[in-house]
Amino acid sequence: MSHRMPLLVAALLLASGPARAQLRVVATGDFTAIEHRVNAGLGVAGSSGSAFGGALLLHIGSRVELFGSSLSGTLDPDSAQADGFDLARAEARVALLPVSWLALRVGGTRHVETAPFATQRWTTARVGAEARLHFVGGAITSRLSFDLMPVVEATGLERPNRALAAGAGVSWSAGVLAADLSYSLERYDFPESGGVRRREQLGLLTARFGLGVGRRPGR
Amino acid sequence: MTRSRCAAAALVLLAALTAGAGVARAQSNTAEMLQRAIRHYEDVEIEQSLVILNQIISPESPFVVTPEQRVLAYKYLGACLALQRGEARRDTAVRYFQAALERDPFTDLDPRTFSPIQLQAFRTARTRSFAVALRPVTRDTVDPRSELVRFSALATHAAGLRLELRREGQLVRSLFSGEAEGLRDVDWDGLTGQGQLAPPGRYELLLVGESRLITVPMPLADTARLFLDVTHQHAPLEDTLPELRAAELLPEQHPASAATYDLLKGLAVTSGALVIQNVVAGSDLGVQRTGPGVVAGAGLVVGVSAFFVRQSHRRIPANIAANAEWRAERARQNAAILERNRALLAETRLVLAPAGGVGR
Repeated sequence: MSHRMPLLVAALLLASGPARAQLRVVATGDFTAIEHRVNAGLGVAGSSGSAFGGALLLHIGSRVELFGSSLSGTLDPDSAQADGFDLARAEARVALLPVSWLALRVGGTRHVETAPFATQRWTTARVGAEARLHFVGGAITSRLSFDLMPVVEATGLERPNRALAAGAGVSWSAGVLAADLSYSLERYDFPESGGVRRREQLGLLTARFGLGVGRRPGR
Repeated sequence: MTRSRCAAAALVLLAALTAGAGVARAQSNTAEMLQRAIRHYEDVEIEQSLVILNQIISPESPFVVTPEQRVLAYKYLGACLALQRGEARRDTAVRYFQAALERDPFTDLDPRTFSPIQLQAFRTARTRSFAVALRPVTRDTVDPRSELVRFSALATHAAGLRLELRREGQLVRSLFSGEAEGLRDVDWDGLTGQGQLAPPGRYELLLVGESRLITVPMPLADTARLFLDVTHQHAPLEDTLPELRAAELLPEQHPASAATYDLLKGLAVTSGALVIQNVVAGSDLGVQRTGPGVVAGAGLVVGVSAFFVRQSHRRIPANIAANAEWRAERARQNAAILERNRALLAETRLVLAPAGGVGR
């Protein structure tokens, strides 16, 4: 896999054609408010907290985007039934934009939940689309996204029957400044096991502030 | 075609050829007679010359006499009679010279070949008749930067002359105004009275003369005019580029509907944030309100703000600047084309050609 990544990037660069001269990198610092809820047969247990991290977004021309982010934080239990845990999460994604208002994207996430008594690792592969609505000459963009997660591997858990994610957000950029506010919700419905049907969801409200350099792709 | 029609056509053709040959022979005979008359005159066989010349000008002459031949005949009749003794003869000589001058004011006697007494009679004829004339223009190409167009005007005796170049009845340039006698050359630099190169077209050269010798009961006047066509000769000019059309330019203003669309976009995000829970999760794990609410609020604020911004700021500065740059570039290109055309036009040559309507 490590041998194929440079080739993939090179192919994407070539695919961007004449626009390859338009490169823009946006680096942001992230603050994320996280809400986690799970029902493993004992009622709904919720925990919430905040995380800090960063993200890097690379526009290659106006048709290709590479995105990577990571965060780390602690979630505290909201009730007696819930457990608190530390969360570390990384995400990578490639998006192709056939038109300026639609991004078709594929990527994956890896997150690790570390509780005092156990560590659970989640790995997901996701594919989806994001609609982008540009405002006022493109300085502001609102986004609506929907992803399917056909691959979900979680330590100690069966593969879920259904794994979806949806999001909405607003981003702004002017000159070198960039900001983004988004909310996403991930939902995992696991098959019944031992008379218990596990359901779990993770809500992320993320605020990003950062700087962008390079030529802004045309819209 | 039938045989009879063929025969008729042949007869018509033969008749036409015969008639044409007859006219040519008649003119040829007049020319031969003139040659014989002049030969007799040169051999000082005046009487023989007079007989032939009188036959030429006689109304009973069986031959065609062209105006030029008639003028020549009158001239030599005058010359012959001026050499004969007697006041009456000399007076008749003057009248023949007058007849020649009235038909062609350019008629002249060469002092190297005619005697003083003939020249005196001719001068008398000139004082008794008054006419002005213009020498026909021949086809010519003139570079107005370095060459002049020369017109020749003539008055048979002292006169006030006015030579004008006119076009469509309007005065283009006054070329000469003053006193003159005999032949007068007048040069034209190819410019109008306003100093512009004469535009292409048909021009009238008008000569107006007023006798200074024959003034009773009133000054005798005469006019002559000829027409000439003026065209410009220069390398082909480039066409300037047309003005940029609206379809070729970027829109400089957002349409009135843009504000509404922006509001709808904001509301779409607001709605999307609010329905995420229902679409993805349902409410079995409880409803998360904070995150969707924050984004929905942001979408609403952005949408409403964009609505008002778009309503009050419909201009698109980037497009306006880009269009202005394109227009300026187009103007620069056209200015360059005009400059090249000016350089070509500066080398324009005037082509003058005689036009119909030459007359007095």
